[in-house]
Amino acid sequence: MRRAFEDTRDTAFLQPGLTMREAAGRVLVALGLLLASASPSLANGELRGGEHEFYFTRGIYGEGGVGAADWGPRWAVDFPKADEQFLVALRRLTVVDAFDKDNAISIGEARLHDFPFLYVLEVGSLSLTEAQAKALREYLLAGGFMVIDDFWGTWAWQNLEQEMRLVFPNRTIVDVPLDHPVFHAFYDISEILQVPNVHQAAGGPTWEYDGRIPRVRGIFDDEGRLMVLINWNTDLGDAWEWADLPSYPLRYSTYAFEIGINFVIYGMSY
Amino acid sequence: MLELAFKYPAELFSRGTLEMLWPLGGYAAAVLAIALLAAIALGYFGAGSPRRKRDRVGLWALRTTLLALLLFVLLDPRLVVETDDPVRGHVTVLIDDSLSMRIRDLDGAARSEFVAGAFTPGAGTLAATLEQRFDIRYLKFSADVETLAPGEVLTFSGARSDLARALERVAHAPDASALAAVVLVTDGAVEDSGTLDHALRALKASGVTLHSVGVGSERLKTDIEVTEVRLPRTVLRGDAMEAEVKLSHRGLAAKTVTLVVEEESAIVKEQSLTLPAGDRPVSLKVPLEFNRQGPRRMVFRVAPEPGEIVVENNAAHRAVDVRGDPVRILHIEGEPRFEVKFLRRAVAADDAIRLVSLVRTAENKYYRLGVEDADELAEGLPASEEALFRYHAVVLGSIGNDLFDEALQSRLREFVARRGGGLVLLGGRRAFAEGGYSESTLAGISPVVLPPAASAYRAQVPVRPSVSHGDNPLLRLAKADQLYASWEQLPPLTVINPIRRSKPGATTVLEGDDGSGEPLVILAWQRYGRGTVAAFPVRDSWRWQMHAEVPLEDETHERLWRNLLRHVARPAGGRAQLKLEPAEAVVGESISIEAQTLDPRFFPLADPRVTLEVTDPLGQVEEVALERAISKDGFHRGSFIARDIGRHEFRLRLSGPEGEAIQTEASVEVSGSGREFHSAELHVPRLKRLAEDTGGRFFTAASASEMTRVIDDTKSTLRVEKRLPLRDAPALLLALLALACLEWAWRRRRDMA
Repeated sequence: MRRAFEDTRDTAFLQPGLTMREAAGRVLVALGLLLASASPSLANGELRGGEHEFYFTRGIYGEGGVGAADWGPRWAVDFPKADEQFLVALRRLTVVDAFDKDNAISIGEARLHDFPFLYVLEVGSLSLTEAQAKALREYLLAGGFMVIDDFWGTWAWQNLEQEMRLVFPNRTIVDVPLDHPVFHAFYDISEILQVPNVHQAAGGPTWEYDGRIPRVRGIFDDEGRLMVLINWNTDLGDAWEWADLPSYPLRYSTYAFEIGINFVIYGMSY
Repeated sequence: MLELAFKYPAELFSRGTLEMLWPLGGYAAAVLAIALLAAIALGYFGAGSPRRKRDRVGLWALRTTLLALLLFVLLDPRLVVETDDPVRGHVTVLIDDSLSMRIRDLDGAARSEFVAGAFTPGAGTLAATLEQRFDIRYLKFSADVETLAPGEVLTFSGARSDLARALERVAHAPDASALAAVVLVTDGAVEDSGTLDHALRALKASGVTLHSVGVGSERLKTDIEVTEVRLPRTVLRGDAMEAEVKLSHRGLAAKTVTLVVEEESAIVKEQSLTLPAGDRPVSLKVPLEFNRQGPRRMVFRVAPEPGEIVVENNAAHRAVDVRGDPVRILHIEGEPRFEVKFLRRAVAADDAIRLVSLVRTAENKYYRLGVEDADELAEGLPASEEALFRYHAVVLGSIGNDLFDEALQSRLREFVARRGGGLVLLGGRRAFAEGGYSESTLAGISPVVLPPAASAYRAQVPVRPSVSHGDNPLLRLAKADQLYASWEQLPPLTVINPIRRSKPGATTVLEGDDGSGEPLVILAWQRYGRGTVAAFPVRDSWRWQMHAEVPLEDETHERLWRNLLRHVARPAGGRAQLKLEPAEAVVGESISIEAQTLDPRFFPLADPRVTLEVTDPLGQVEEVALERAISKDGFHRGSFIARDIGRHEFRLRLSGPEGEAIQTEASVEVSGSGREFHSAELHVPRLKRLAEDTGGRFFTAASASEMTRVIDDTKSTLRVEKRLPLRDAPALLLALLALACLEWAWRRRRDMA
C-alpha cells in the first residue's frame, strides 16, 4: 500500500548476521537506486514503447488519474517508486532489456496491447466497465499476462472474483501449485510468503483484515498457460517500494524481488 | 583409253593400291633382279655376243624389259580398292506395343487395329510389301524391347513407352550400319522426350535411316487432361502446401469444370475453374493440408466430358510421404524476449513441431523450455555437433557474437551445410550488424547483406509481400481457402536491424516500407549447402498476434511461424535416408533404391548394418539385398521389381556402430497404366524430327503405303574390299608382243636371227 512514510528509525542497512545472498541483494538494490535516482524522471502518462523489450506496465482502472489528491487512486498505490525499484532489481539481476521507468496505461486502452505484461493491484476496489472487461479479456487471450497484487481478505477476494467473472464468465480461479514453472522460471520459490505492508513489516501480524493465509492463484487459458496470476493476502509492491528502507526485512523484499522476477520471466516465456 | 588398256577406269587406279603375289620381301626382289640383269648381261657381253656395241646394248635392253614385264605378269598384279556394292536390304520394323495404341481415334478404329492390319508379320499389308523386297526384323517395344516372333500377336498392353531405349537398341545392333532403314510405328506418346535426344544421336552415329509412321489423331476433338501435378514427395504432418495442377483441354473452351482432389479415396478438395479460350493449358494452385502421417495416395481428377475418347487421362496420381515424427526446433535467445513466448504459442498446437527454447536470463544462466529431459542443453549453448545436430532447425534471436562466438557460428554453418538443418536469423538488438556479426561466419551464410556496422535505427514499418515472390506458398497465412492475409490490416513491426539487400541467390518474400524509398528486407531465405537459411530481421513479430486491431481468431502470426519453421526444417532428414526412383512405377518396372546412412555428426557411417524390407500391397514382406556403393561412402544401393498394382512400402533399418537402431520409410505407388494415356495425341513434330534428322521421312497411317517406295529408293550397299586382276590387261599383252617383235626385227636386220 502506498502511504506517507516517515519512519526514521536508524536501522543498519547491512545488519550483522545477514547471509551473503541477503547482503548482496541489499547492495544491489542500493546501487540500483543510486543509478535510478540519477536518471531523469519521465512525466506520468507519457507515451512509451518500442525502445525496450520489457515495460513494467501498471493497469489504470477506476476514476482519477496520476497525482490525484490524498492517497491517490487505488490503482496507483506504491506508484511509481515500487515499479521503478522493481525494475532496478530486474535490470541488475537479469539480462532483460527493461525500460527503467514506470509505464501506466488504462485497462481498455488499445495501446495496452503493446505491452504483454500488466501489473494491477488493490483489486478490492477494482470495478471494470463492460468495455474494460471485454478489452481485458481480449488482451489476456491474445497473450497478455496480468499479475494482481496487494489485496487482502474475503471482501477483496469476492470483489476480484466478481470482476473476473465479467472478464472470464466460464473460467475458474485455482491455486497455482509450487511445482508450476512460474515458481522456477528464474529463482526456485519453495514457499509462499506473506509479504506485509511497510507498517506491519517490523513486527506483529503480517496480515490485513482476515487475510491470514497468502495465496498464489491463477486463471489459465485452454492450453494450460497462466493468463492471470493473483497474489492474495500479500503485498509485493510494498516490499519493492520500501526495499531501500533499512528497517524493511530483507526476507520479504528478497522474496518479493525473486518472485516478481519469476513472474516477468514466465510472462515473457509462456 | 586407260580403261581400254588396263581394264579399269582411272578413278579406281587413283584411289586403289597395287598388290602382287610375291612371297618374299623387297630385298629378295632386288637381289633377284640384279642376278637376272647380270645373267642377261653375260649373254650379251660375253663370248659369242654381237660384235657391235650398239647391238649389244639395244638387244640387252629389249630382252631385259621383256623379261621384267613377263615377271610382273607372272607375279599376278592386282588393284586393291574399296567399293560399295548393292545388296538385298535389311529393314527393322519397330512397333509400339503400349496401352496408348488402344485409343480409338482413327475414325472409330483403334490405333492398334491399324498396326495389326498393316504390320503383322507375314500378314499385314505393308509388312507383306516390305517382306518382298527386304529381310525384315520385327521388334515390339513398351517398357522393354523384344523381338516379335513369327505368328506372335501384339497385345498392346505395355504400361510404358520407352522409345529411347528401343531406338538405342536398334542403333547399337551389330548390323546397324547394314540396315536399309528402320520403320518406327508409334503414336509418339513417350514418357521422357529428353532421353530421345541421346537415342537420336546414336542413330545418326550409326548411319541408320529412320522412317516414322505416326498412328493416331494429332488433335483429339474433345479432351481434358490432368497434365501435370507438382507436389513435394515428402511433407511434414500438418503441412499446408499448394499443389500446382496443370490442365490441358481440347474443344472445351469456356467450359466450367471441377477439379476433385482425393486423399486415400476420400475427397479433400474441390475447386472449379472455367477453361480458357483456344487450346491454351491452364494452371491452378490447390491448397492442401496433410494431417495424417504415412504414405498418402493423392488423386487429382476431372470428371469426363461428353464425347471424350480418352478418359484415362482425366486423373493424375501422386504419392506423398507424410513424415510423422515432429521436427525439433531450437530457439536460442541471448535475453528474455516476448518473441520466445509468442513463438512458443504460435507452434504450440502444431504437433509436427517440437520447439525447445534456450533463453539466457542472466549472465551465466539459461532458462530451458520444452526440453525432453534434464540433460538436454543442461550446459547451455550446444557444445558439440552431436548436441546441435539433433535438431532440424535453429532460430537464432538476439544474442551477440561475444556470446555466440566464431566456434559456435562455424558449428551452425556445418549444421546447415552438412546436416541440412534450417536456420532462421531473427531480428533483435543483438542480432545481425547490431549483434556484431557484420564480418562473421554467420554473415557469410546469411541470405541478406549485413551493413558494415551497427546503427541506431528504429522504425515501425508496414510489411508487404515482395513484388517478385509475393505469391510464395509460405505467405499463405489466412485460414483455409482464403488466399492471403490482408496485409494492409496487419500492424507494423519494429525494425532495429535495417537490411536493404538480399544476396543474389536469395528469395525475398516480405519487404518493409519505412518511407525511405528503398524497401527493407523483412523475410528472405536461401539455400546453403543442404540446408536453408532465412533472415527475419524484425524485433516483434508478436505484434501480429497481440495487437489490439488483430482479431483473436486471426492466425497470421501462427501460420507465418509454422510455415517458416516447416520450410527451413523440411530438408533436414534423419540419419537414415531412403531414395526411391521412380516415385510412381508401373508393374514390372525396376525401382532403384539408394540408402544413405550417417553418424550423429552426419558424416557417412563407416560400417552400418542395413536391412531393407518391402511390404507389397498384399501385405507380404520381402527383404531386399542392398550392396554398398563403392564410389560413395555411406551409400547402399539395390533394386526391386514391382509385381503388383498398389502401394509398396519400403522400410530401411540401420544399426550403427554403437548399436543404435534407426529406421526410415518411403513408399512407391505402382500402377497398371502409368502415364500411357497422358499426352496421348499423335506427336507429329517429335516423329518428324526423328525421321528427318536421320534422313528418313514421316508418314501418317493414311500415307504409310508410300513408305515402301521410299525405302526402295534408298540404296542398300555393302562396302567391300576388292582385288582386281591386272595380269590380263591388254596393255601388258601388247607390250610383251611388241617387245618380242622388236627384238626379232632387230636381230633379223643385223643378220643375227
